[in-house]
Amino acid sequence: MPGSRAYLWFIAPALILMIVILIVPIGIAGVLSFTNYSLGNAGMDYVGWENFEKIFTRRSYEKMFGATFRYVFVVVPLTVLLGLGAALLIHSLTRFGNLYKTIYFLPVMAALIAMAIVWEFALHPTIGIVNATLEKGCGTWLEAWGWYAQGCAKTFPLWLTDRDYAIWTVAFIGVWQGFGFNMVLYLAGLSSIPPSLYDAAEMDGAPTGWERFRLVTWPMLGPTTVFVVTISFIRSFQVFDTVEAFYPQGGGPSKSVYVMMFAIYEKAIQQNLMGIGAAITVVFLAFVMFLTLVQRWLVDRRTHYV
Amino acid sequence: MGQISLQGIQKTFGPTPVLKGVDLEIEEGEFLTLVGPSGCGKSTLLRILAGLEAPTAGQVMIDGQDVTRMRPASRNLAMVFQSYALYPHLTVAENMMTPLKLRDIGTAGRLPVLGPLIARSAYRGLRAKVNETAETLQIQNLLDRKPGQLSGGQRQRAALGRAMVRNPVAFLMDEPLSNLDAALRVHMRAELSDLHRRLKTTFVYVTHDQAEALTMSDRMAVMMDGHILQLGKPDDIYRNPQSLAVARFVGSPAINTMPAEIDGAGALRVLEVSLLGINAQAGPVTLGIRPEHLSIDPAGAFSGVVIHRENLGSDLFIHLGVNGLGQKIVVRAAPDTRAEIGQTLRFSATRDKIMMFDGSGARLPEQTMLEVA
Repeated sequence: MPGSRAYLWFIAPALILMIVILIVPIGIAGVLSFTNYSLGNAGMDYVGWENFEKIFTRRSYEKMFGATFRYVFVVVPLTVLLGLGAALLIHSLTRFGNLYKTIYFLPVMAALIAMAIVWEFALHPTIGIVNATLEKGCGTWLEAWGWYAQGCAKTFPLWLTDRDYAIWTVAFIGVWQGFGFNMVLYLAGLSSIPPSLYDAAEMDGAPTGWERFRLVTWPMLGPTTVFVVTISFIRSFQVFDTVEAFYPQGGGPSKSVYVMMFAIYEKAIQQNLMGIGAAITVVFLAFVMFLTLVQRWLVDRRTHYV
Repeated sequence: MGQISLQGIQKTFGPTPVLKGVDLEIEEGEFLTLVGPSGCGKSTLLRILAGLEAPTAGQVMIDGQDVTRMRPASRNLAMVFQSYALYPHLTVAENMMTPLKLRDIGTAGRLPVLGPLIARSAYRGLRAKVNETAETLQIQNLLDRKPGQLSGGQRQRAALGRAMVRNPVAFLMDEPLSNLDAALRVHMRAELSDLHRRLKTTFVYVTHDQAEALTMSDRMAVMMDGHILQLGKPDDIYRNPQSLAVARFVGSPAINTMPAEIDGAGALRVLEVSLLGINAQAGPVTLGIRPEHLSIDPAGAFSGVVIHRENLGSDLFIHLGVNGLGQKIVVRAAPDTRAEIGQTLRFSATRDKIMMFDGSGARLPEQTMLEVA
């Protein structure tokens, strides 16, 4: 029926929900980021760009960006590469594939808070299994490695409480926890590659696995890779549970693990500084938005084959 | 170049035997079709010939050389797949260039970005070859497109182009026409035959469609259950099938079959009619007769009720239900024949075209048939 407005009834529920639970809160966060609002206060003052100015000038926020980017740029490449590697290996198996899939996927399913406690014990400087194992290697050929000899002579790193190691240790746990997820995505991508393409590559004269990977697997995984990289970026920007579990107070040794999500939580919830918390949130959203736009551009331009 | 010989090829997948000892000599420049119902092992045989699958036992020889253990890439065969298997991220030109690149250009020259600069003149040569092949197939205007932007027929040509471009010893085709619509399929049949005549290269063609096998091939091999049942010229196979299975498989509409009996007096009795004097052992037999060898004849020995008429314009196929016979009988008639559904018609058979098969489905020799008394 031309002129009918029935369509409104169909889109209304989704539209209303989206506005109420997504658009409006984002809008409110945007407004709050320009104020000094605290929860419970009757009023608030408009402070202009002051909150953002703080974020981009103060030392503690510099540390926040430093910690976040260190984490992201370690975790994203490693989870993507390890996920792809594990998927390729499992895909090539004829037996036990499901067993390996389960093993690699377990950390993804496990509650990260609980896993963090386990890691905390494992990495404990004196009673932890990691340093205890390392000490067993003292006096062997491993001491040829300078770092190892130093560890034997003095002590092995404190891992989570050493400011030179803390962020990398947390990033390691992030990789351990995250790559199984990427592996599953890559496995799905791999199983959707038509086998006849590999036959064609073989007939066309690509005898080595590497040639076939370059000619078929990697290009055919293009859409999966774009998705995996984007989702890994977003997940790494969102890292919070491990940091909160290891360092409930203050973001690690000399704030070296003061990642963005934790900063939002600390400012807005623990210290009840809603204004600055909202401002960090807006910066965070800007990052995520940027990544999403890059992904959409890549999908449209580069990997859309049909 | 292009003489292929398969000797005692066996293949089992787990406990299931798929090929049970296939011997096949394919002559140079021949268009040979492997035809059979799905699951008969024809595609597996082609894949073994290509090297994509290793035979459990047996030998593959190309031009007198044993290639059984050789990689597909070194056999210099080209394959056209049912799904075309074009690389979707590459343009048609790049697709066609891939086999040339992998064969003629070294690792350094295949680097992304840098490669074309390092091996500039080599690439120029390859592009010339691609253009030449594209011209033969009349796809020059499609070279810059990606497979996703092509129609089925165009993809088919692009896949052919990729196969043709490096002048292989033989072309292997695995049901290449089955993804096309009916009109295009008939058109491509003629085009492939024409291509074969121009290239004068060996074609090994796998299909489940007996019409393709009959229309295109120099020789065809009918396969069933992992065996080649009969190998020969399409005409011979159609006229002179050596077994009931081949007779049933080849020809459309399918051959009519009737159970019959040779009695002690040497008479062939079919549907209560004593048809021929027979010089053979008494016992049950199966008669086969093609629809074009039956005719509507008011004085015919058999009668049936019209249950369906199939008008193809040039021919009319009348489906008759015959009393005492499980399946219907199809008779080819002139298109202007009057046949209403429900009408009872009499029909007769051209006697020297009747084929007899024994209980195991093997053809009984013609000489045993005598003229009716």
